[in-house]
Amino acid sequence: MSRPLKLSRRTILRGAGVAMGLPMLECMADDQAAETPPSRFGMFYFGTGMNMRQFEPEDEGPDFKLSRILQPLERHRGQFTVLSNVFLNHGGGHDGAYPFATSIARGEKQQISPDQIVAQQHGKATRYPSLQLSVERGTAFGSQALATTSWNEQGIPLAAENDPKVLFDRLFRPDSEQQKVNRAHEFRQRGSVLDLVMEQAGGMQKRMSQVDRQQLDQYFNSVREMERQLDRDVAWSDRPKPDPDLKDPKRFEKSITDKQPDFRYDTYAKLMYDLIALAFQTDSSRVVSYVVRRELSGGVYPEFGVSKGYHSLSHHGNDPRNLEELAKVDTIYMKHWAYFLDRLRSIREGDGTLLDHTVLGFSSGMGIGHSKNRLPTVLSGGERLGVRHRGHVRLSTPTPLSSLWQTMVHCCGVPTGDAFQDSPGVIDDLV
Amino acid sequence: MTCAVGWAVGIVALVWAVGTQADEPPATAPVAERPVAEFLTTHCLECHRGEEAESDFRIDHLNDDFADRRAAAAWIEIRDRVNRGEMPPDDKPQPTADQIRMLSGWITDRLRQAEQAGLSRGGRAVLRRLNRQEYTNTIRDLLKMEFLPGESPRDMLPPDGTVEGFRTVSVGLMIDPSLMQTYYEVARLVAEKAIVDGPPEFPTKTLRMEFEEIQTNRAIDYLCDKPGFECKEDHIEIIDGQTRSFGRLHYGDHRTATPTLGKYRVSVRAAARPGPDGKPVRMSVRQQHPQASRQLVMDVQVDASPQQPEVYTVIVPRDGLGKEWNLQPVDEIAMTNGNPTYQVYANRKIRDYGNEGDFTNAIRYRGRMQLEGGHEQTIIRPDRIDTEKLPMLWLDWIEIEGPLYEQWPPKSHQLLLGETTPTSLTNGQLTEIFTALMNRAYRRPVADDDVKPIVNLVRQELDHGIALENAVRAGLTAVLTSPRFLYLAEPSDGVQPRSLDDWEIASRLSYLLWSSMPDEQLFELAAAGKLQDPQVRLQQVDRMIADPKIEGFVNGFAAQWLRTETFRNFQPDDRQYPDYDDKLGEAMVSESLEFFREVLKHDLALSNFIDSGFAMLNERLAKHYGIEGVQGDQFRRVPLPDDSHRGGLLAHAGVLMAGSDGNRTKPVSRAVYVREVLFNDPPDPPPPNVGEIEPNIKGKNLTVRERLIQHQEIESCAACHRTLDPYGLALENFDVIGAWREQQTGEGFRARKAPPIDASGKLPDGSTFDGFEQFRERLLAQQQRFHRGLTEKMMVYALGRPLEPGDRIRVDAISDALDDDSATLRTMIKQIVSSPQFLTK
Repeated sequence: MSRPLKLSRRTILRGAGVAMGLPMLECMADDQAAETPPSRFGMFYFGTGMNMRQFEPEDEGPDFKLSRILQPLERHRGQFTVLSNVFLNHGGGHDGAYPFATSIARGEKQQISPDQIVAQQHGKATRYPSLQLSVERGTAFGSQALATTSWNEQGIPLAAENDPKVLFDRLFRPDSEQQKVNRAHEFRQRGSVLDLVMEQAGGMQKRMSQVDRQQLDQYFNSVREMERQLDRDVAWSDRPKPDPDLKDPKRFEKSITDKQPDFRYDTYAKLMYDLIALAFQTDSSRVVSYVVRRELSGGVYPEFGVSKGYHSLSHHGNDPRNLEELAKVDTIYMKHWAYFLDRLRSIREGDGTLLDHTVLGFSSGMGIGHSKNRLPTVLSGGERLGVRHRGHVRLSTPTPLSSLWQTMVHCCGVPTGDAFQDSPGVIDDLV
Repeated sequence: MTCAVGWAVGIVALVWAVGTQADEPPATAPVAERPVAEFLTTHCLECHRGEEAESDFRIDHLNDDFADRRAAAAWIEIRDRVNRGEMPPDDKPQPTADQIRMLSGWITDRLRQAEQAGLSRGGRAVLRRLNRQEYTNTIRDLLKMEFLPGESPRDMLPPDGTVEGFRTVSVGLMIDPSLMQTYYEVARLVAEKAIVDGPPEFPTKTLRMEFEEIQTNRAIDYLCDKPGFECKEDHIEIIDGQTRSFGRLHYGDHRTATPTLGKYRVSVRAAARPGPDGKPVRMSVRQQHPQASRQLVMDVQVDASPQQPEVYTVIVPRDGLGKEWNLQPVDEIAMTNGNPTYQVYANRKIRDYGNEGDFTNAIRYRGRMQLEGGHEQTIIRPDRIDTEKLPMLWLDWIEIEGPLYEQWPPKSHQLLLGETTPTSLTNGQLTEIFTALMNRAYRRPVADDDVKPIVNLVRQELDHGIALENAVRAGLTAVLTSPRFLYLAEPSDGVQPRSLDDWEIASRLSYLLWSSMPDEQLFELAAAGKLQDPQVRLQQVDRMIADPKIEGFVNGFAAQWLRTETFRNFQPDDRQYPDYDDKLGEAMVSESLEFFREVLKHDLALSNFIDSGFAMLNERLAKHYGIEGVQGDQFRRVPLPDDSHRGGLLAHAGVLMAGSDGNRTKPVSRAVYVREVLFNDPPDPPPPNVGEIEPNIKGKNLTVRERLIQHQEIESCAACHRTLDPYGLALENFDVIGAWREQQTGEGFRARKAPPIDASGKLPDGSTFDGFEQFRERLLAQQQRFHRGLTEKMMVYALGRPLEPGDRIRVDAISDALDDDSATLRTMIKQIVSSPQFLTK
């Protein structure tokens, strides 16, 4: 079903009047042609690799034969490209979630991740510059099982949210009248609190050593970001949240996290992918990162009917049962990926579909047997953004994962400059 | 060959470059490094040098600055290739296992040094924020608030980062915009709850149901006709089955007795008649709840006789989701109600118990069957049941009282606004209120200039027509969002180390031992300048250990040190380990924490962690360990019988389960636990792509030990595994869930054919052992190593930073001071809080 995807310039001028704060003006200026659907960017992490023996296709080209794990994607042939010969320099082993998006090893100072680079440009136009989703809340920074792959400009990990209800409320739950009155007070109070704590932090900083100051800088940056968010909130406050027009809005009324005893992954996965599709569709955000499976921990649920945890299975020791169960689990994840592509393709946008205006990349921090090459890497969507899909491409030279990100950033119309992480450049085969 | 010699000189110089001047004479080179140079010269240089170097990998251009990522990566490559036996190639002379170990160990050490140098902050404590547990405890103590499950800040804040195994380390505790946003939201929620508007929305009410009402209620009187269920004039008697509340317990118009999240007192007037075997009757009280784990309200042994019934009471948190109440006698042998299939079932049970040699239960079943009129060969005759002899639960009434409020308005409200909320507040009054609050929130006296902006903020809100309660909430929110609340700040010019002032010492002590803010006494001592006195500090340590808030140390330090969160990472295979259930899993985690608490509170020797004459057990765990006479869920100290294999940490089922994958034991993981947790001496990491030892392939039934030994025979693996595996193989008598075994289990080994367990071995120091008991003795002989490891761990936790070479002298001094059998955790804590590291910024 077709819905207005993005408020056109006219709609805003008609409806918003006073609400047009500064951020709106900026965003309109960014989009030269407001009628052209915007570019969307999605980065997905499947921790602990996959059973690459059943993932890598044997032949190449658009008519390649889908491997067992990729079989669920058959109906999307032509909408995605499987990339072989991709490596992650500091990947392999279980620290791979750290360099995944940035090419920076665990333990080193991080840098901005590609989703945030895109968000810097495209995020100004939306209620949420970017969304971080994950099976686990927070960042889990320090542990191998990182809960996020997004890093801000200061190299601080950005916390992810794992509960579809929380995300739904944030994106779509309309405010009641009382909430609107309260909100005005809340804006004022929040502004005062932020001013006040900023001043206190300033006072503290004067009497601090250099290293302590660096630590406190995180506080400053975070409060500044909250101030920017407040500005955005004020600017957006008079605009109603979009109505996602759901057939069954009840689905999002209950908190669901994998800590609950009655957790079903199938329900959860679909809710999370639906939310991304809805966020894109309603232009609530254009940038998403999602840790679908964490490194090392979790990844397998009772309904999968396998005998061990994902990490235990990945130490397959060539036991055919382990390899079989790994492939079984990976296939389940790919079924959900196919579901996600279904959702994006079902939404008309401009003269194509939402998927055509969305570049999605997924991979892992390792391949099989904790290797740092042979990563399960797939680029999906983005035909209207200049992506040319080729079925299965075995790149002629070993190519860092960062080249995939560079290609995706490039397709979103964001200049990547000469030096993008450790990438030698945009992958020519794909554009 | 001449050429190679020349290169050798070059490499030796290169290896020396660290810590010595390049132009210093070779004679001063550290001896340990010469073999590295020799190894490289002998085995690598021939091919990997010059423009034509094999694979472009040039040993002659190798830089040994491990802080340089590229160089470090090259060294890692060398280590891994050599470890895997890929280099040198097969057709070249091969190094010995010792040589490989030497090279690999040297590279690993250097990598670790470089890593620690990277984390180094010059040996100084760095500003850090509170972790979420500390935040939660601090709010609790600051505002005298109590949180129920689901509403605590801990449930709202994301998990914290871990560095060096602990969640108190500055570099792992970062703030990003989303966490900042969460802090703000949590502060608002705390303020919302801390200050109340008027009377409670749900005043405390008492609801009661008399069970005899059942017979006068036509909807449910059928119950009284059920066998095993008797309705008397003023009570009911249940032999079998259960009774419910039948919608008769509801709070006002609500459909439940528990309309909102709060504490409730649940009381039941009950009595019981034990069965002929004298086994006491247990009563369970449940409230239906969507979450199964939240259903059980009370599980209690009813000893009162029907002549003298008693009231059994618990106070529990309930939320608004609970519905009906269920009461029943807990009895694993249920009445049959005349169901003939019972006979088949009972006969099978009797046979199974008999086969297992459990004659007590076999006889219980047979007796029960006969009581119910059944015989092995005939059908059951319910009319012949002699109910007078069956265990019976006698119930008079159930009462639900709540939600309970300790006082109203709550303490937090009174703390800020007094018993009666004033209608208006002057700036002077506001200053007074917030000065008192901020002195404690910022853990040191605040200046007028600190308070003024908060008072202005509250005034501004009032001027906007905001209610007084809400305006004060805004002020409280600002205090709780302030960096001075969120961070443990210690001002410094960064150049000259300085001694901490009294307030800072108070905070360091309280966050170390309580994971919370200082209390009144610490503040008073700080104000009087007395915390500079070492004796006073030590007295405070004693007082703080005796305080219930020491739970903060048990759940903080002990849980992180012992890694109790990992105990239940792998779910045991339920076909192979049917004895395992969640209750056992929970008990495993509790055991290790209870054990730590016991050792701490009773000043038991540190050696108890290696071997102890007691265990901390509850009924479930005691059953698992085959120890008799422990009843109930409460943990208590149980002296170990002579024939018990328990005692010490390494016999804790949780530790052993963490070192298993649910299917088989993982001796290498267990060995790593011993090396890391007990000795703080992590083994070299395995080379990439080695994976785990192979599972049994069809037809080959090798034990884990046999496969590991095979693995050790590969020269390249031997280097590490021969010094590592014995620590884990010594624990092979403990199966996946930590139960004692004499024969191989798991992975489909069947009892009769399974080979016996061999837990013998030889430690790297040359000492041998024939099994777990001797292994523990050998570890006891290395107590010094354990003391040092534990000292290092606790210092990281206390200082919030990784240790550095400069800390070594102090670590030595502390572990020397602990060098006798009576050393305790208390001595160690006192040593650490007296160290210059702890007292200096």
